[in-house]
Amino acid sequence: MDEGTPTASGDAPAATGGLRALLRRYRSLIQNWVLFVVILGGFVALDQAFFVWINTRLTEWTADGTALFLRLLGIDSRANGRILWSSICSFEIIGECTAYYPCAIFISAVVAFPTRWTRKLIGVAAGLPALLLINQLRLVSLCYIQHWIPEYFEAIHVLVWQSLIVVLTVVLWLVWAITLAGSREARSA
Amino acid sequence: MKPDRRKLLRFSVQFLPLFTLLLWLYWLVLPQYEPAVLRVANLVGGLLSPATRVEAVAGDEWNCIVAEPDGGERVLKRWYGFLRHLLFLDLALVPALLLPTPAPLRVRLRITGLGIVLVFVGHVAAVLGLMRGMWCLVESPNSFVCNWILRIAYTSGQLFGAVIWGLLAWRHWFPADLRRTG
Repeated sequence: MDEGTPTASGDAPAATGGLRALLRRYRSLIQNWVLFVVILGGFVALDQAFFVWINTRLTEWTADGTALFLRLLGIDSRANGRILWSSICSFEIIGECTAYYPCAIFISAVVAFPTRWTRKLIGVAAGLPALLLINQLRLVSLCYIQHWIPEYFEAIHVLVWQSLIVVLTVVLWLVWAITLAGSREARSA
Repeated sequence: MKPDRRKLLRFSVQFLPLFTLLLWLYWLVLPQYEPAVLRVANLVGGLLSPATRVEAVAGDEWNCIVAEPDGGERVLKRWYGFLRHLLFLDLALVPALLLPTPAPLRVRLRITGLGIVLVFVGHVAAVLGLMRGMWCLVESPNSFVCNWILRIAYTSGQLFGAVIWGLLAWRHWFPADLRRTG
């Protein structure tokens, strides 16, 4: 065999070395990402552990909030437990309709980002009300969608809004990371 | 405007048209994509004991089927139409999040391609999580772990989307904070 031809046995250490170099280069990123995933997994476990609470209190508060926002818009509405009744729509708020998971994604990303704890606390304190408000806007808009274009309700509910709420969570986190967390890049700009 | 804020503005402006386009593509590819995910998940599910599989039936519903010791099969659970969208929604979301990443076009295309592969792997894992979680709950009805697996599977469309985006895009947003040249 030609000396210059790479052999399979010679490629393996090179590939391992390349992977090691990549892991070393992005060690900090990987550590932060793993922390993000672990915290997120913890939030799913919390949801499971406090399933009854999340599926009663949190859903009832969400239904109450949506009824209040609809009343502010001049629509006759009320919440009975987790059921929302109004003159233009009615639906049941379930655990997945609350802002629990967007908040879980946001908190996990904030905690995992390498910055001071005070900045993380400010991020969580500012981000959670924003996400709760965004979720209320989502539910109010869904109420109108159910009234105006009921045939698109399920697609907008499941596909569009579920995706948009993740994007808004990501954007909110980016805003925090860029402005409040004081990334090195932003500081040097 | 600071460079980071300009990056964020550019991302926000690019996201919406991309997401609209990808959502339209999602509806187009779903009839081919769904069977591909189920085929791979069922292949893996068939290797486990007891063998489990998910079968798409009329009306966009899914049946979770487990093999019985006598050679027969039993339907463990029937999921209604919207579940597949709940699971697969990051197929449109992840590329829409990755394509406006502040990086050269070649890099953006590469991470988007990688993102789609990870989304597919995530969907196979989610379907496996659904069927193994359901079977696990039949065996031990109050198991915390079984419920946890199912909960992750049900919310995987949102969670995996954020996780995949974090893995592939963070280093391009915050290279100075998250990259350490060893």
